[in-house]
Amino acid sequence: MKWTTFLLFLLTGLFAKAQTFTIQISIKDSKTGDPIIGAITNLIQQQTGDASDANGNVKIVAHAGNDTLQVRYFGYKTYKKPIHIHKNTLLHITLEEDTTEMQEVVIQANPNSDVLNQTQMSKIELSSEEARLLPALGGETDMLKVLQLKPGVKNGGEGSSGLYVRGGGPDQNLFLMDGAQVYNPSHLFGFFSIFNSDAVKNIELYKGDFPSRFGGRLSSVVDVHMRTGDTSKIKVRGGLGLIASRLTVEGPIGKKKKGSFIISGRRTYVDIFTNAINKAEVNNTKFSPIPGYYFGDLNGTFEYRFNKNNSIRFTSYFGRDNFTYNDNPFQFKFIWGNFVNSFNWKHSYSSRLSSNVSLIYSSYQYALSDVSNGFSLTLESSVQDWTAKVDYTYKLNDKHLIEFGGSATSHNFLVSRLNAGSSDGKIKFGAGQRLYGQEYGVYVSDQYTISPRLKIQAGLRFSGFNNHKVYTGLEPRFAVRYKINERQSLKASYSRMYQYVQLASNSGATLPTDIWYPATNNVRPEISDQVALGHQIMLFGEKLFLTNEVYYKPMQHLIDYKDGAQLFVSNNLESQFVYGKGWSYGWEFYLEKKTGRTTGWIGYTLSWTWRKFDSINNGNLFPARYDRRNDISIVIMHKLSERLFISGTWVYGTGNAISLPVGRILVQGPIDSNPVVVPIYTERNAFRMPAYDRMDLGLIYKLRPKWGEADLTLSIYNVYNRKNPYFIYFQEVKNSAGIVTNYQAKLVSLFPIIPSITFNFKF
Amino acid sequence: MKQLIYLILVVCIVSCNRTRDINIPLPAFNSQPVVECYIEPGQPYRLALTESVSYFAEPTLPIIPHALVLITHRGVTDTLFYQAVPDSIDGKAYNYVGDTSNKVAVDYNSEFTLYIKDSLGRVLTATTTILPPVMMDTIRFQFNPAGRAITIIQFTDNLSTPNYYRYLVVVDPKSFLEKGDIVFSNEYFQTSEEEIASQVTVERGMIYVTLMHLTPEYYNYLTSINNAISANGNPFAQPASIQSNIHGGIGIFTGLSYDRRYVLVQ
Repeated sequence: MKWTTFLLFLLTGLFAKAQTFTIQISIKDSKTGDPIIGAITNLIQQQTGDASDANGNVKIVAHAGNDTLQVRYFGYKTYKKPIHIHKNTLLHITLEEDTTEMQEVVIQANPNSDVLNQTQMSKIELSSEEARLLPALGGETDMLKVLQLKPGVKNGGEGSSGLYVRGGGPDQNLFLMDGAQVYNPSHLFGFFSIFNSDAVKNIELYKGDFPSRFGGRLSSVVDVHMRTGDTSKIKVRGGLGLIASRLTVEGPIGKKKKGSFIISGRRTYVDIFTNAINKAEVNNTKFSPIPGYYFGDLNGTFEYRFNKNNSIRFTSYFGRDNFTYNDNPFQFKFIWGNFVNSFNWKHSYSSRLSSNVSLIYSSYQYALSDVSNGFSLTLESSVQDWTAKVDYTYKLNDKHLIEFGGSATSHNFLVSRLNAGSSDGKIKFGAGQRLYGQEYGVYVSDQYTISPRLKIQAGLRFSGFNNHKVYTGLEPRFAVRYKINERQSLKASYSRMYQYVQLASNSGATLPTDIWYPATNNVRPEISDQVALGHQIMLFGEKLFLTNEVYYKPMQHLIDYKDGAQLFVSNNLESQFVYGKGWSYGWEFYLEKKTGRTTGWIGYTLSWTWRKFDSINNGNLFPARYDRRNDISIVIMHKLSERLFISGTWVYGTGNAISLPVGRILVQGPIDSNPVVVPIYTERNAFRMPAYDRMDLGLIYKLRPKWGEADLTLSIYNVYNRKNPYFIYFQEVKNSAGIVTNYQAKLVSLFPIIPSITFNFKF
Repeated sequence: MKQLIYLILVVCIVSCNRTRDINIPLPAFNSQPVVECYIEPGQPYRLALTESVSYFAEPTLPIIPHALVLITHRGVTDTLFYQAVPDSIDGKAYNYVGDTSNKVAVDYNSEFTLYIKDSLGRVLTATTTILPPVMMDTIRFQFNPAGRAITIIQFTDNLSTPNYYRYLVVVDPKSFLEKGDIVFSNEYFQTSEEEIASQVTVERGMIYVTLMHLTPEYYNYLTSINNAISANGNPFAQPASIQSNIHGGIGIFTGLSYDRRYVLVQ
């Protein structure tokens, strides 16, 4: 009998041990209800776990039995409770903020050990809290400019928020706002981004190793996650700055507080002063009116959780830039902006299977009008998208995490619609095109943990585009992580990307007048292939984290423009295009300190970016305009006391490639025309701008008002007032008699030292 | 319009007064002959032959002397002779001039051929035609409250073929003051009866109004030099190379066809 009992016990135990269950956990902030991304969740005895995803969810497959569930995230108190695993379980956990830990500065969600465990490489994460700690131009926190401080991400010039990622142009970045595509992420010709840091939770930037769910752009994915409103009570926060002011209101929805809302607005107000000056001087005939300019943003996010398996979310963004210039009889107006809406439904079928369904509308347009001397002109372009997509996540077992889904987008392009004529109607002419396209993609990927050391992520995306001609493409995605030991990992990845919509821009900078143009019978989709190798290591315990990556990215069917291309007004824009290839390759070094009173990073990039077009530069290889050999950035943040915080950034970059004339001719012209000196350009981008070097400093002083929280933020941009290069031109030098005596090269710089102060408040 | 936006941006940028001189070492420059020749009915052949120079060279105009310059039309070849003192007409200087008693005949759409060989053995060739002029049907003025007027012309265009024009409004042809100068094509015309307005205003008085009918080569040349000029000093522009119809050199050899009126602004 004893043997029988023993055998029965043994078999029961063995059977119990063999059984596995899925524990699905939703982790949120106890005050705001925001999902916490990257919280480390593990079962201590079984030594298994994972980090929470973008929705704050994590799944652990575990054996039956007793264990301790632990959830950790910097800045929050650790959750640690015993758990009895005997069935598939869904848990909702809220973490409380740990104010005693605020003596240390936390700058990144994912701890280093989690980054080592992932196959994902070439990814940057930035939270709005981190971005706010750094000095900013005009005191206006700009998350895209902070991303430019990371290796592999360059700007297009002084003050520009355009991103040039691993040799790709500004149109090769996919900007998503809660899943909805944004076509122009900039205000004021690229000097500021449209992302209000009060409305944004965090940004994930992929420079390579693109997850299969993303497609449509060659060089990067900028995935912006918007904040969720506070589910406990109504809160107000904002800021008064020299350039702009912000206001955010958030709070719960419904008596049971199952939902929340957050609405954020921002506006500049320089135009209020310039309009007042213009009005005061209206009778002064010698006064030249000052141009008026402002930009404004409005963000809104509404979320509602019906039950543990269903929630909906609606995100909307409206932004406008408005530039006017009135000097009788000349009246000029230029407006541009985005309107983006995303409706999302999350559903959990079981503890293993969940889905995310989205309906999205996105548009970008600009309109320009000019009236002078009885003659008027209007020019406009726009792009409108309707998108439906669905994404599934299926945890097959503790070794396989499968993702699959698809999307379909209907594009509508209005290209350079021009209407011009005289006010009496006798002169009239027009131009423009309307184009359509349907873009779609389906994908599947599997994250397979082969062993504790070896993990792979293999995926395939099939994409296509239809605009009277059908283009399709297979986009393999592969990544592997080999864990050398607990402190270091080797990683490798390969991604192929197709881009069916290109930006027609004849400029060296992103301008609001740049036009989005689809693939057509003649315009083929652009293709890139990127391979990357990386090594990551934790140093001095977990205090420092060092990442080295090398990459190589050839690109096909790139578009550029023939000499003298007419992009502004055209009935057949693609007749101005020429086609070629590109290559970019480089090494990125990134050393980061994430914890302690002093945090920050050092980033260095060594890179090359080449282009080759038969119709440009006599078919010879030439560097891209944003090819910059060396880029260094040093960022330091230090908490002096509970109330005082300082930060500094230093950036250095060798010069961009530029085209300068090497010769000149005099053209006198025929009868009635003036003579002109005409520059002769030979090789494309054969010269280099001088090096760029800038230091910024910031200081945050926390106030202690009775009604809430507040701080004064001081920023000093370009501390040593360096005249950094913006562009170069050649000028005639004349004597007092007006006779040309010489020619001189001139270097134009943009921003001097700019101090600014912002008052931020929260209650 | 593009120039307007760029101009506003550049003015805003430059007005911050953050400009300084900088030394740019240019590579060794290979000079090329530069030709400027307008074949005009009723005028003798005239041609300017100079050299291109490195951008920071002395601001003098290096001319090419003693070259062999020949223009052939309908089998008849005329020689243009070097003028040590350039022939100056209407403020323009030409250092090679044909027989002044031998004027260019009115002969539209037939070919003229240019041949040049200089003392260094460089050979340049080009061909062109003279297009028939397009006459201005009407000229009218529209005044603004300040008492200055834009000049509006109406003309008839042949929409069935691509046509290129240059519209000039000047007070004094020999001055270097701003002149109305628009280069355009009929690509965006919606009717054959078209009107064009000048971009400058003029006071009451006498002005010259000219409508030129351009050859495609001359139109491409003019737009390319305008683009090249715009690219210098514009941080948003790509450089443009000069589109020339001179083989072996740079410049333009074109027939000149225009309707020019001396009118009273009223």
